[in-house]
Amino acid sequence: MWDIILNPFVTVLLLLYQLVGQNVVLAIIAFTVLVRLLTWPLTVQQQRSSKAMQTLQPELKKIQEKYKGDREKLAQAQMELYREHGFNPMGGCLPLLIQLPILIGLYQAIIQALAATPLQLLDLSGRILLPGLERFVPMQNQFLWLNLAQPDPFYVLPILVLITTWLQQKLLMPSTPASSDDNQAAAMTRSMNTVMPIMFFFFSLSFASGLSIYFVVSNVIGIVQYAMMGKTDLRSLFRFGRAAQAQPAENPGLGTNKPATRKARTSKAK
Amino acid sequence: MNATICPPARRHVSRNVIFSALLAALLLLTAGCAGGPIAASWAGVSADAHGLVMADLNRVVRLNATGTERWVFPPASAQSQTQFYAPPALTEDVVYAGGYDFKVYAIDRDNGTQIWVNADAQDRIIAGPAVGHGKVFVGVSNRGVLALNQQTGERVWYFETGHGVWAAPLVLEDAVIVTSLDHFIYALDVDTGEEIWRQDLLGAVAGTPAYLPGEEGPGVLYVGSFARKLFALSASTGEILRTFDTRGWLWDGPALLDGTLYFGDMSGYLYALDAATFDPLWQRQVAADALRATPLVTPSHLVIGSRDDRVYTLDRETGAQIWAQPVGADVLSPPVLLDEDTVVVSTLNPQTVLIAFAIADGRQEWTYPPVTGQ
Repeated sequence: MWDIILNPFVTVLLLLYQLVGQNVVLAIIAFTVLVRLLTWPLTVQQQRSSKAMQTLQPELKKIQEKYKGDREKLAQAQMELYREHGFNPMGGCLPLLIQLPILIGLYQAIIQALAATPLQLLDLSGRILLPGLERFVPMQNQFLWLNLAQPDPFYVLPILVLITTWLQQKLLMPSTPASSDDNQAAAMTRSMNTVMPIMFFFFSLSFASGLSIYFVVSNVIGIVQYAMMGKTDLRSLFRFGRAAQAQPAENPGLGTNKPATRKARTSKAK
Repeated sequence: MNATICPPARRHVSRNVIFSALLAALLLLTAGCAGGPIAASWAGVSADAHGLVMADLNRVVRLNATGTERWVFPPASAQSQTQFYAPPALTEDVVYAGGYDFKVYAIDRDNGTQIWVNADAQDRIIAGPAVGHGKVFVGVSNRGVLALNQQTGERVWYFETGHGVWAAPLVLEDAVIVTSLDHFIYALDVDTGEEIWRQDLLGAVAGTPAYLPGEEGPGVLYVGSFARKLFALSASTGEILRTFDTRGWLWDGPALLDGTLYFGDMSGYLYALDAATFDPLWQRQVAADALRATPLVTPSHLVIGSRDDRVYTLDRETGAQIWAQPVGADVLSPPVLLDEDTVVVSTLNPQTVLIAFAIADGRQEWTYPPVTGQ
């Protein structure tokens, strides 16, 4: 079952490796960009769903106030509201669920193609779908000071992973809770903003450095993609702790520097 | 690692949080970090007149001919995290073993104590060492080959290849032959490590060549590559003399007996070729999965293990199957002959890493570790 994703990924990665002159780092970059482009429609759908949800927030809050003690009626009213606006509450989560196996497949393909151990190389032998690509197995694992099948001995890549993961989290995630109801969730988000980069930093200390390159490239592409959609919030870089909570509640979601402008534009258009 | 807000929740628990946490958990699972030692390779096994030496996971074990442990290196008291998979090289007094800790060990063959250790390798030792000319030759997994003083373990020379060396070098009279994943086979001066010749074999080379000495002229080397070809090369110049196309990748080197080459490929096909002409004597699909390792060839039998969890014994002359035994796990190491009646195979099953079979009828004689009550 997993082979359906992994085998084509390994094949494409080796094909790219051939096309970029057998430079494994360029191949990983090209591969990550390609997968991100292919999943772009899912990312856009996810963002649209998120935006629609933000628009519904004031009305949802009213409903929540109205049916505070009655969960059944609250759920009915929410569903009615979604129906009225043609909004599918699962529409934002589904793209994520689809992307997850793709990203895991991408990660596994890199590990497989680098084939750091005999068992990995053995496993790779059955995954190449195009004849002629055997010539490029295993991929060259040396790049600058790095043995890409081993962790970075000088910790440069783990630090880059830490920085880019933190940057992405800070730029893309709301540093502001929508209201006082959301303090707990906001605290969780803030702690995850700290925990996730540190977690990926520790992964990078023990994982193959080829994978760390993927993490860095993926983070950078993620930032660029969301910037293209006007979703990054540069101001959030400089907000820490409680200061962040002083933000007005009208800007509840991502891209808190943009929504007002976008709303105005929408109104004008109407 | 992207971010938006999850729609249906009253609280703004970010989708990014869930997604990243899920991804992280899956990464851990798929990376095998969920606990317990994970095998990176198959056991390396070597045999002599007194028994076996096996390198597997975190130990090198000396066993007698009935599968009973004589010593274990490193001793449990050392609490070593090192892993060993390279088939150890055996001399009269010493066992040479390479580890995943980038070190080469010389171990007393009688009592398992360390004689010397060398830490000059820059990466893991996947290939078995080879001994000759007063040196120990060791391939390094990311690139290159080291020559060490056999007595002291001091480095004599290092030759850098373009990729890893995953097969034991072959020591000849005046040269050491090294194969590499960089697609090349190299002949190096045994004393200086200077390159004598190199030849491109069109794909990664992960096997030790078989060598047929010339009656008057230079000898011939036989080795396969991932380019699905077996090559015959002049041992003195590296010139390609003949090639033979196969169905799958060729990993380990061929076995050579009485002028016939025997080798399996990664598609499960087994071949018997006339070494002089490369004319097939017989060839057939033996296994449902890869035949990775060099077969064991005796005057009457051929024994080979497969990734399809079976051991096969065939008639050497005709290729007809004599017996096949299921062993419950991949068989990826070359079978070794313990005595003229017994063959030992290693499996990826930690409960039966080694199984000894009667070569005539496939009757199981013992396993290591021993099954309770055995």
